[in-house]
Amino acid sequence: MEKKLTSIFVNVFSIEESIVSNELKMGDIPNWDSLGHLNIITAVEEEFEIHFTNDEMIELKSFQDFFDLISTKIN
Amino acid sequence: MSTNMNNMTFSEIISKNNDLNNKIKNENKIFIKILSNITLHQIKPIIEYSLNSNDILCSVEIGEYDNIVKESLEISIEIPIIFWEISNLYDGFAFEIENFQIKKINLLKERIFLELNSLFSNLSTCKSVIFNKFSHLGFSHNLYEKSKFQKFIEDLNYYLINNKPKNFEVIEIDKCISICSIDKSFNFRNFYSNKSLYSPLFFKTYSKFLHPIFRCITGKTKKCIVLDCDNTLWSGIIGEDGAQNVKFHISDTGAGMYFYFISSILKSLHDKGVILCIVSKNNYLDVEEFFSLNINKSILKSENFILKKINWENKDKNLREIANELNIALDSLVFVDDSDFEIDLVRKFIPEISSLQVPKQLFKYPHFAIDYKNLFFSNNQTKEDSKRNKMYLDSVKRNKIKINYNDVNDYIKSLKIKVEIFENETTDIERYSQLTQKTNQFNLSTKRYEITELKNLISLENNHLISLKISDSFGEFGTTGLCILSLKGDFAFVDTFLMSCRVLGRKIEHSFMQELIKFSYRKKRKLKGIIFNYAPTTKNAPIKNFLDQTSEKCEKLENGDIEYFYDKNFKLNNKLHNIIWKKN
Repeated sequence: MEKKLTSIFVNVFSIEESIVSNELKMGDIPNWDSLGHLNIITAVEEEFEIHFTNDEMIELKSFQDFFDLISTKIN
Repeated sequence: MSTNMNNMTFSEIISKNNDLNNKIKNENKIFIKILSNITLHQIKPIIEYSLNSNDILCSVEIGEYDNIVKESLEISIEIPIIFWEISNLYDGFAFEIENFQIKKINLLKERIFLELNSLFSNLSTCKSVIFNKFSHLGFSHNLYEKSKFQKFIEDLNYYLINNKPKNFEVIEIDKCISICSIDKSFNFRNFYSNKSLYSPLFFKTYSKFLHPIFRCITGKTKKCIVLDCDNTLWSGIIGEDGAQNVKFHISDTGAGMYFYFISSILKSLHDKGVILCIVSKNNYLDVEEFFSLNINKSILKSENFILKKINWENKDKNLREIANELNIALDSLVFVDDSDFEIDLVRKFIPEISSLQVPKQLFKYPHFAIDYKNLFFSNNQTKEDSKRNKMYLDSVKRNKIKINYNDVNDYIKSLKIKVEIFENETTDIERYSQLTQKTNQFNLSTKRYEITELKNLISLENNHLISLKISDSFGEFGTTGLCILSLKGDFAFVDTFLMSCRVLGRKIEHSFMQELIKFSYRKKRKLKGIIFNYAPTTKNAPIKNFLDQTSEKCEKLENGDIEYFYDKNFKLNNKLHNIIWKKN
């Protein structure tokens, strides 16, 4: 699951895989602004076939946050 | 390259689009600007990838949020696409309007009509404008009675359709919504939180609706459909079942009705000017027997097919011959066959041709055919289009008598070609625009002009628009040549010089050139010469060959263009044609 999420981050933000880490957070890379955030949410929802609520969308601020919430939803 | 992105995820599209963008040079791209009052950033990679991966090179820019009318003033070379979402006139508008009095609704409507008028006027000189029809579906689909919001949208659409300028292409986005379904088109969570109404799936579907329009803009509309016979034009195998037993009519049992529907679709394409041909591994006489046996029953007649290659040769060879005999590029052809083998073979050996396989489940065949009609979409139908098949049929007859002549000039003289030349004649301006958009091979600059652009060009004092109408003893070719030249200072500059491939090979281009030069020196103008600025493309080598053969002086420019010089001493042919200058 971590590999799949990393690949989505790489594609959506057009970054090298080495930049993706658990600590990577919104604002660290130029493409992760508010519109980029909508893109990553859309891509993650599509690929993991899950849905986030409005509150969850706001709470998702780092790669680790995504990983944790997706784990909860798919398990 | 042709890609279907139905099965690609949004993140894959973003990634692949970035890779593709890095490979395409900017100077080859069409620039698209999206003007909108909702958040639409997700559409950019999807439209870019959808068009670029289908050889329509483009770059998409998203305009400012909610500034449609003002931004329309700044459009120059871009093709604008307008998403005007009425539900987002302001927060909650689609719900609040239900409580408005009629008077207030009418005032609002009048305000939008005024804004639409400003938009029409600001964008009237654009090459093309793509405007989405207003939609109420997202906010009314589950309501039995007609809401005020729905009525409001219907009135706006009525105004839009009846007042839009000719360069506005209207996309019915309700069709995209119906393909995706309501649930999958919209993302209301994102709409209420970020004004982002549509889903990536909707954008994928919407992008496909852009293909016909952009193929038209870029001169990539298909011209000819080549069909197999057995299980493509009729159900059954004629060589085994016999001409009298194949099924093709609505009254036939079994699969006949599907082929009847297909014949209706093909006939409508034929009547629009699409060339129909046959490539089939069969005995020629069997196929002709089918047409003669069913002359009253079959919608399609033998003469509706301009060329029939019915033999046992490989189909790629036959298809190349068809393109050659019709003098059209291979990528103007669409090939339809039911066989995996034949489709794979043609895809492999001639990837430029769009090869389409008849669906295995025949009930899908009619909609498959409706879908490929998009490949032949033309936003600018002219009277030449409906005559095109007759013209090509005449052309085939001409070629048959050509073999009787040893000397090409004798053959040309025998055709008794009449060339009528017109200066600034505007009654045929739609055809001129179409010629600039469709002509690829014998085209000096490949500049594509819309009607409004041509009108503007002619209105300038030094510009002259010269057109040709051609006929011969077999029939009429109609308007098939065009030149735009401007007489400035010591030189005449040729901006556009083109001729339809249908009339090439008869040395009319030589006469046309000669007449243009005579025209430039009229009224004792003291010119140093006439300059033809050739801009190379992947397809316009034929005109370069002509210029190389006829001009004594040329100069290569830094941007890759070549300037060819001619002066008043130019003289080429010996009265091969009857030339008549028509006065305005």
